[in-house]
Amino acid sequence: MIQPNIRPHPKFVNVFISGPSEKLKLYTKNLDKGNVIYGEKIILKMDEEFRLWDPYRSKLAALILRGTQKIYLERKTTCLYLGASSGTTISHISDIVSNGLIFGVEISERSLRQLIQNTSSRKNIIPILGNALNPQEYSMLIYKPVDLIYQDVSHPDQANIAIRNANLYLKEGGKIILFIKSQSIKSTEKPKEIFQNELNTLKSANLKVLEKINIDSYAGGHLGVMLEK
Amino acid sequence: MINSVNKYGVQITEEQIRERSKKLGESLAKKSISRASGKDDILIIQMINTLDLLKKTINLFSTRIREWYGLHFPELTDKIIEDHVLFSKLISIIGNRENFTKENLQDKFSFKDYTLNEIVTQSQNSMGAEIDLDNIQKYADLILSIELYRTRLENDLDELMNGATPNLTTLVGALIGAKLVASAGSIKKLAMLPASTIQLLGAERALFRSLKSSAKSPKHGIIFQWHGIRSAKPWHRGKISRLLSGKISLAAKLDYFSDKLLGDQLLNEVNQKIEEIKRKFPNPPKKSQKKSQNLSKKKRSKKRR
Ligand SMILES: C[S@@+](CC[C@H](N)C(=O)[O-])C[C@H]1O[C@@H](n2cnc3c(N)ncnc32)[C@H](O)[C@@H]1O
Repeated sequence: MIQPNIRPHPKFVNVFISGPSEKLKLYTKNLDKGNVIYGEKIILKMDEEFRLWDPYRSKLAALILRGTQKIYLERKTTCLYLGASSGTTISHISDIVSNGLIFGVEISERSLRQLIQNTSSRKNIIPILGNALNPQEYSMLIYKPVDLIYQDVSHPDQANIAIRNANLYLKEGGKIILFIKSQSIKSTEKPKEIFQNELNTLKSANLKVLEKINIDSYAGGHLGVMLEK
Repeated sequence: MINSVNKYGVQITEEQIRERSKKLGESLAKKSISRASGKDDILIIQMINTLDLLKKTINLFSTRIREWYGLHFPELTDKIIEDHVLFSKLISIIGNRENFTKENLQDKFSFKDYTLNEIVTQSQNSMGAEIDLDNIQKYADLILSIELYRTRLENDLDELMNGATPNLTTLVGALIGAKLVASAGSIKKLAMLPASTIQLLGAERALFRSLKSSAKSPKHGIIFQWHGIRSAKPWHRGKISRLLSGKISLAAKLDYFSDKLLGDQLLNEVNQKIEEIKRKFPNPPKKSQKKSQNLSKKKRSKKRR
């Protein structure tokens, strides 16, 4: 087999790519060598392991492939991750913020248990069992304010979850990446109206919309929104 | 916070805070975890039964509203719109057939050009009568609010199933998974059932009928609703349903007895084997006479009901 030519992403720190631009593949450098999280493929190259990052499994990878301007992740970023699930995306973020920190909140006990099993040797992930709608519940574990809130929760009330968590934990000027699924809010409204309603609620809480990206082709009916506090 | 701690002369590094937080987070999560508490089962069964009823209700209500609104705009009822929910939406939002203009429809809906033109033309040449639409529109709103509740409930069930039986849910989806749990009685019971019983869950009535009338015994119950079986050639279905019920049995055991997540793998295996079956048995078996006999028997027994 020919080794893919893996090279750094031109814009994003610690994100790697291979292939031509129309068939770009994404990778992150495995922080926890020897372990895979969700059966992802691993490419070995000079002592390093590169984990293939699947845009159909991870909406952040989809955002990147759909051409987002920024992902607001640097080596030292501190991130609050809402809807951590069993660890697909959070593990790639953990690779990227190699000297940073991620608080991963998840409501499902089973998913979190899986996350803990998968990521216990990753020092930069702190798992938190909690409901993202009631962020004060987990205040004892979030010991410093965060630079970024990454929100991918399957819940109808996206805007309020973002606002409450931003109020408590996000730095002034900090960023939010969140995903809105048209269907999980109101089935009888048109997707456009749903997105608009959520955006209006976010704006009315003084969150500034920086960018909107449709990732429908990777995750049906989803829109990614970047905001600033 | 680090600063404030250091101010009081306590020597603690960020590294240590982080480690302790990680341990605390892990142990808090583990404490509240009690496997298969039984709470999930009860909720799953209630939710799937309610969903079932809601679906039937929406169908029933929709048939009624089609007839009623058909007095006013029969062409829409008869030919153009088959989707029940969309039909009520049109009545609720647009209402009078005179308002079925291109602009209104484009503004609120996303029809394909062909359908759009068809609706507009038919509305201009409608044979229907002028009647008071107020009550019909309220009825449409009622249907839509039931539908809204139904989709929310379905989302909630999806989430619950993903948490309680992730392997089963990945394999066959939340709805079929929940029906299997409900039919078996609980996740635990489903995990204990042999594959051959799982294959027939939900087909008990048909099985009973076949015993009485000595018709060919049915091959599939609830799992017949799985898209991979529904879309299969008739002579593949038996093989696929045996295959699937075996994997379902495995998935349920994984869900009940372990924390392993192998749903994707199980699904892959099923799909691969289906391809194999298709390759090995491209043509229907040649027992055509016997089959047609059975078929006519089945038809008859259906009519009698
Ligand atoms: C689409 S999944 C997230 C997938 C994950 N971000 C990834 O890409 O790996 C959504 C998750 O949100 C969780 N969730 C739903 N409601 C929640 C809430 N109120 N608080 C925290 N998590 C929630 C669900 O249990 C589920 O694991």
